[in-house]
Amino acid sequence: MMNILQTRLIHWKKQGLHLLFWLLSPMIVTWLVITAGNAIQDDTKIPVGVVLKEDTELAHDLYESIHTTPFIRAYALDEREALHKLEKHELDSVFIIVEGYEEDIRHGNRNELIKAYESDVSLAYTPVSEMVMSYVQQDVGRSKAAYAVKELADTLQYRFEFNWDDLIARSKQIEKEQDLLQTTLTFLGNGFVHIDEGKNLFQPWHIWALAAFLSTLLLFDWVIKENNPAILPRFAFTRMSMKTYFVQNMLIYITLLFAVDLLTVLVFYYVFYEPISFSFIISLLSYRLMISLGAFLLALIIRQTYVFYATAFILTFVSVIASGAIIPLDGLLAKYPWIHYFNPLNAFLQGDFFHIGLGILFVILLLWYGRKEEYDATS
Amino acid sequence: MMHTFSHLKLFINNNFKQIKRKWYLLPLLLLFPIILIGLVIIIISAFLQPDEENPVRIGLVDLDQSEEIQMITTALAQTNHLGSMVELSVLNEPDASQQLDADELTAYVVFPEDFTNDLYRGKSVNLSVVGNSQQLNEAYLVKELMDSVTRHINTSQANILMINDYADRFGMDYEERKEYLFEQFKSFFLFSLSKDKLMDEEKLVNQATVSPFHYYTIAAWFISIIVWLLLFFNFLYKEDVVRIKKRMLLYGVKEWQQILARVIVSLFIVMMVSALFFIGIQRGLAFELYVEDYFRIGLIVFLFSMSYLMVLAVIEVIVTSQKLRLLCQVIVTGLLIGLSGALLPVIYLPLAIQDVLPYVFSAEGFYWIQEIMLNGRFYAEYNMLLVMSGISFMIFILLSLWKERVRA
Repeated sequence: MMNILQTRLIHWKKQGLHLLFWLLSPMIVTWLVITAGNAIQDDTKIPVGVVLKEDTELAHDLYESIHTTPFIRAYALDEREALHKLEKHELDSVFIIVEGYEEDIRHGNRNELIKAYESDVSLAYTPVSEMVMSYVQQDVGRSKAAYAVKELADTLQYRFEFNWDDLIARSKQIEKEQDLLQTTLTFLGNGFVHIDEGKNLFQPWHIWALAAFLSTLLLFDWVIKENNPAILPRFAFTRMSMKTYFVQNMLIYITLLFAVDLLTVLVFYYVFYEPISFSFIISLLSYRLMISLGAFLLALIIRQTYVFYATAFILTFVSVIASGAIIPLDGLLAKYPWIHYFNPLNAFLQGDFFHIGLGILFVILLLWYGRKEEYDATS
Repeated sequence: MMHTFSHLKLFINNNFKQIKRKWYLLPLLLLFPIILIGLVIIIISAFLQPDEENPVRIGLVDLDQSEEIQMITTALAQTNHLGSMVELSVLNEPDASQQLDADELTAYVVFPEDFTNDLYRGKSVNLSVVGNSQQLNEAYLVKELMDSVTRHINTSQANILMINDYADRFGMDYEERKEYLFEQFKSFFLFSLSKDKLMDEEKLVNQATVSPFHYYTIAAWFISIIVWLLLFFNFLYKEDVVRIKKRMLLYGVKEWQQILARVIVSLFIVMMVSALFFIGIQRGLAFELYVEDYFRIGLIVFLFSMSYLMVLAVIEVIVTSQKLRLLCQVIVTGLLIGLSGALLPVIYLPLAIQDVLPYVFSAEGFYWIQEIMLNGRFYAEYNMLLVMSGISFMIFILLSLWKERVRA
């Protein structure tokens, strides 16, 4: 084993930068994807046209509310321009604050205060209109409350001078003063409670799983380079069989890769506040063993490095789409639970310890190792 | 000059021979993007489709035991827009947490003690949603649902508080006031659930054949073209041993001639295949197109494909490590697809990104294809695409020549 390690170190010294790049790439890729994803998510806004048909305080307040909504990019336009832009698909939807908006609200009238247009390719109309409606509703609700107070005074025959504006101002003031109702989401699991803020667009370990999948495959190209017909006969003259040579080298690679994985766990703990637990480390080790074994065995079958690289990329493409790391698979998994067995990433993404793929690959490795060798001096 | 052309011709013939030799890989290459897009469609539609057999089960833990909560829970059960997808049950806390562990519940919501009293007094209250970590997405759905419920309650709360304030001022006694406030709470909560009347909604349709479905069909076609180009360009790549490279150098063969031959062959095949695919789409969805439109679309596809292949060629010249080269090509391809608007229409992208899009050929190409097919434009602007493919071609030739100089 020592000899193998020494020869491997000589190899590594020569390709130092390359090796380092591919070892660290999953970490770097994850960081880049998460950072870029969040930046884009924060700035991805729905373009909405708002048409003010009257020049009143309530109408302006409504426009301000829409304008300051985080996920909406509001443009104040006149009606013709707004509808033209909507038709050209430059806006997602258009909301027209109709004439008499304030007057209607003052009189407690609550029907058709807003005219909304969506186009035939509006993707985000529903959430935007929900939001706009909830703003209008605040205005209407306050007015309703003001009338309720008036009614109450009337039934109690209390002498009360009804002033709509004062009551609305009072309601707004109360709303500002109160810390109102909130919700929090927590998860109970494995004995610890983990408060989820749902901040990241993607989950760091999911992205990492995909990046590690690719980089592990690409790192195992040494198997092809050293599985060279010109070199193989020489094994007959060494104390070591060719299979032992490959397996021991594989173990060295797995150890190195897992060491980097542990480093990644620490980095993600500080950068993304991803929790560390013993069960997670076991799950990570299991995933590491599985993809390394898979990469090793695949490299033994393929003769040309370029074909191997192309295969690695194609497998990664498929995983990006079908593994559930980016597009959630829950719907399909609920219907067809057997998909789990064909998806090597599934166990790790779910935090399980073992995937059937690891078992199968291990059996194949044993079968391969047990078979007689071509160049073996001892036989 | 003559030599250059004869070399090019030779390599082009060679490439076609290579394809003939590996004909069995052709269907795989052609089907690959279609299979991937099919997978995406299946996964997303399964994700969006409500699962009737496995509804989202929500437990309600009522520590407050008030009439108001009972009203909210019944209103929730009846009027939420998720309808049959959600199953509600009232539980006590130990049961709820036990069922959550057994994966029988998606989440449970705890209404804390004195919930309504605190609301009436204007104290801050926290509704906690405890989710099942094995059903993450559904748990977020429940949280969203509760958020919309609390928004309803929030808008009512300030108003109720004000009414309470005045009722007190008008001299209503405590018991009577409590009764009265409950009536008001009910009325406000129901009012906030029925907000649809506030808006008069209309749909603006500018053409009969436009919908997100049409949009994404064209997008799928567009993405397939890019993926095919990437696949064919790399499929035709052949690793030359140093000996052969030396010999070719002696014959006066340049690296760029080999790459250009691959560009021409990939472009030729992909143009043919995408034309077939396009005719299929046109038959299926019946876009209104005139003969000139086909030429316009063909020219646009040719120009952006050319620019794209030139970018791939430049990467091949710069990056010598095969692994790294493929990685760079894949990343650039991903960026070009993401920026083109084929995944998310460009109007939703951040403004800073939208500003640079006129200089991104994939966005420019997809924009004009869309204008012609979806918006019925009889015109397309080719200048930008022409300039970009010209520039990328020049960069490729210059880099390649410069590199050969340095090496020699």
